[in-house]
Amino acid sequence: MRHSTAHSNPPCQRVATTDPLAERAIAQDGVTTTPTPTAFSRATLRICARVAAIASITIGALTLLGWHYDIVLLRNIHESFASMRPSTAVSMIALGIALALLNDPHASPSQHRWKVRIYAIITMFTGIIALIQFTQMSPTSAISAISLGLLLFGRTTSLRWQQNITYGLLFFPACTASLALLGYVYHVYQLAGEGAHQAAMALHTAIALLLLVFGILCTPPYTRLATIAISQTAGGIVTRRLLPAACVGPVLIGWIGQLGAPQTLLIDEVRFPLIILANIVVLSVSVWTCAKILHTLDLRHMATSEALSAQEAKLRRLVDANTVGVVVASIHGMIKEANDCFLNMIGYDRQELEAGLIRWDVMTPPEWHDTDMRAIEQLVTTGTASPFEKEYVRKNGTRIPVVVAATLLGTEPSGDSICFILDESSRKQVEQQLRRAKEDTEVINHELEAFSYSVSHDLRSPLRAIDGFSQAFLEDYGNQVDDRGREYLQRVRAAAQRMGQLIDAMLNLSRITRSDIHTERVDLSAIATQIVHDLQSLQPERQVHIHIDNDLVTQGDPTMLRLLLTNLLENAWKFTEKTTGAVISVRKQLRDGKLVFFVQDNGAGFDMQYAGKLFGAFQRLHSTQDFPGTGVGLAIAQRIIHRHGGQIWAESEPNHGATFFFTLNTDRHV
Amino acid sequence: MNVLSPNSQPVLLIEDNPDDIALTLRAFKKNHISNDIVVLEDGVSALEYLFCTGKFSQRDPNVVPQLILLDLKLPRLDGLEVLRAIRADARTQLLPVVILTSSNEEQDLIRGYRLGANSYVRKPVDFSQFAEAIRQLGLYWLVINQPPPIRIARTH
Repeated sequence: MRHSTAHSNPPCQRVATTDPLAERAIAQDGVTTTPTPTAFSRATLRICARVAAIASITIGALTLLGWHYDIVLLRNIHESFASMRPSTAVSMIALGIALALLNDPHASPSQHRWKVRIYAIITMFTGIIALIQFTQMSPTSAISAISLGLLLFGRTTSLRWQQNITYGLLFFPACTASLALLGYVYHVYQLAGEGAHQAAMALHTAIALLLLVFGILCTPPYTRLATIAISQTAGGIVTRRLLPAACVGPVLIGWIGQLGAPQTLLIDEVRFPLIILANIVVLSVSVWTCAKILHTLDLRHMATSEALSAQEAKLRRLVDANTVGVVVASIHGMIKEANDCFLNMIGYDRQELEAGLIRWDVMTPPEWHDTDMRAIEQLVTTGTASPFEKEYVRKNGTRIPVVVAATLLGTEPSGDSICFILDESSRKQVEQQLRRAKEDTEVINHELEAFSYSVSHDLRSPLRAIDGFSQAFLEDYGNQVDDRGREYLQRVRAAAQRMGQLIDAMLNLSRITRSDIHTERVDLSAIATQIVHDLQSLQPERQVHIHIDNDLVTQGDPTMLRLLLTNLLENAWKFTEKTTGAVISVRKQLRDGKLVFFVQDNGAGFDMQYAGKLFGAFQRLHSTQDFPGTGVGLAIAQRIIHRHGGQIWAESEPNHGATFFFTLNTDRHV
Repeated sequence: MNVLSPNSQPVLLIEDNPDDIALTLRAFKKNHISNDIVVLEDGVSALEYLFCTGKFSQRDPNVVPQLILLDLKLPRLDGLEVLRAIRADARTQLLPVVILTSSNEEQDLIRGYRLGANSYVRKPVDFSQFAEAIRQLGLYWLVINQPPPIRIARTH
């Protein structure tokens, strides 16, 4: 007898789920440990076995009492029935105790092994003695007891062929006990083994034997059949519903048939076909019931597999859509399946894939091996590897940047995994282009900076010389030229000064583009009030009615927004110079849910026909004589607004004033 | 070069553009500023003058400028480097330095003040305004302002 290692591990089910190696060992040994869902727990089986054992012991004990006190009911059950011999009763008690020991819930399966064997030997010994000495014990009972004793003696076996022997050993007691039972039901005592020279199997012996057989079938490791009966599979359902019917139905029919016999109402020629018909009916009902169960289960199964194939089709579409690379690969490097997208990425074809020539470990450049190892570690421990960046070497030797994510296909840590691979080369290219563009912009900005610096320093000096020496000439030699000569020199000076202003305006404009934006809360009302105050103090004689809303608050660069308002308000101030009853207002309104600020005046205004030129640098819609200026103010205003991600526009009519609207995108500053 | 009168503290004009030199001198003269004006046309000469080295090694080290007018764009060594050298040396670090230049670029302003300029004046194109600026500078730095005490650490 081999003592299997699997059995020394107490609860089989836990072994099965925690240790796959142990699970496989048990499966090879033939014990079904696949964790299928069951209707009853295995503990229930053991309880059944214990109940059967106790019943058997009770029957044996009562029989012995019957012999001792000469009570026919306990000994024979009925006067006309055969009695259970004391030796049989002892066998039944011994077998019952052995079965109870095997199902002791507080002991390990091997703990009572020797006790069980002792009780098995007692049983076999009693049986053999009965056979040899030809006591009054029924030989069928004796052989049955020997069979069961033999079976329990070698119970630790778990190999499939040994199990088959076990079931063979159960066959004889089960059949003889059933026959005996039928004999008592039909009053045909020959069935119980009654003969001229031998005693029949007693009714309670038959019952005790059947209980013992049932108990053994509920005891590990003989539960192979019971496992099927308690499982939730179709087999389990069919067994549970039909087996009792199949056992009880024919017996009942036969018994009812027997009832009719003495009345001679039905002669045998009629009775047997009726019994057969009844059997056919019972069988047909059983078959139909079975069919119905299988039909329902099959329908459910078909629905499930349809849902599964729909799921699979979805997955297949993802794979076939070829927007991402999908592969099935082992963690050791082999790529077993791949879609076209992946093959295109790496430049191999399907033949090479099928020939097993594509390995992800070979395609990975050495510097990415550590990354791969980390991903595999995560995959094995958690079942998925979160997306990570790496590179593959294509067949042609070039490299392709990719993002890979993987998940295990099964539950086994060393099994295959499905991986999704995104081609990152286009994104990388765009990134590179962006980086290049940014570098270019930086170079251009740098050049602009240098240019502005040079303009600032070098362009103004000659102008100062022109102006300065003209002035010097006028001061020192002015009396030597006539008025016209002096006027010319004044014009030279004026032109030089104007050019100085234009250079400054140009520098201011470029400064808006070059400087960084520092966003904070800006109180436009306060800034506007301050600017108007400054303008008024420069020209105290002017009468201008000012209205500024007192809640103009926004987010933006305070310096730039001050410059913006300065330019807009200076314009308003300038173009209302010739207006009587001048009004300048700074307000806000909601337009399409957006906050719009505006600076409004009732001054000279402009023709909307030229509105397009309004914000161009050095563009002027009025003559310098009428309204002096460089033509850069609104260009600066527009640049400030654009750098704040907003918009600026104007509405006007000649001589009816102008309104400059602007929005600021407080989220996005360029 | 100018002839220095021993008892007068000169004004140092560090400027390379001859037009600007002429105009500045004219503005000084126009505003009756009597101090001597020493003109140095590049940064290296300016430092040689201040530290009595090179072609100025024979100069009297007791003559210390009362005010330095410093242009930023200069040949050889630019104005900001000159300023750095002035502030780095104990003999000159307290001297009032006014940056007088064409530019009003933010970076020049920041670097100038960071290196310790006492004032930053942008030369206007309009000569009348320029003359007025020079007048005010002279009035402030040479008359109103109290210069630092002169203690020249002699190295020789």
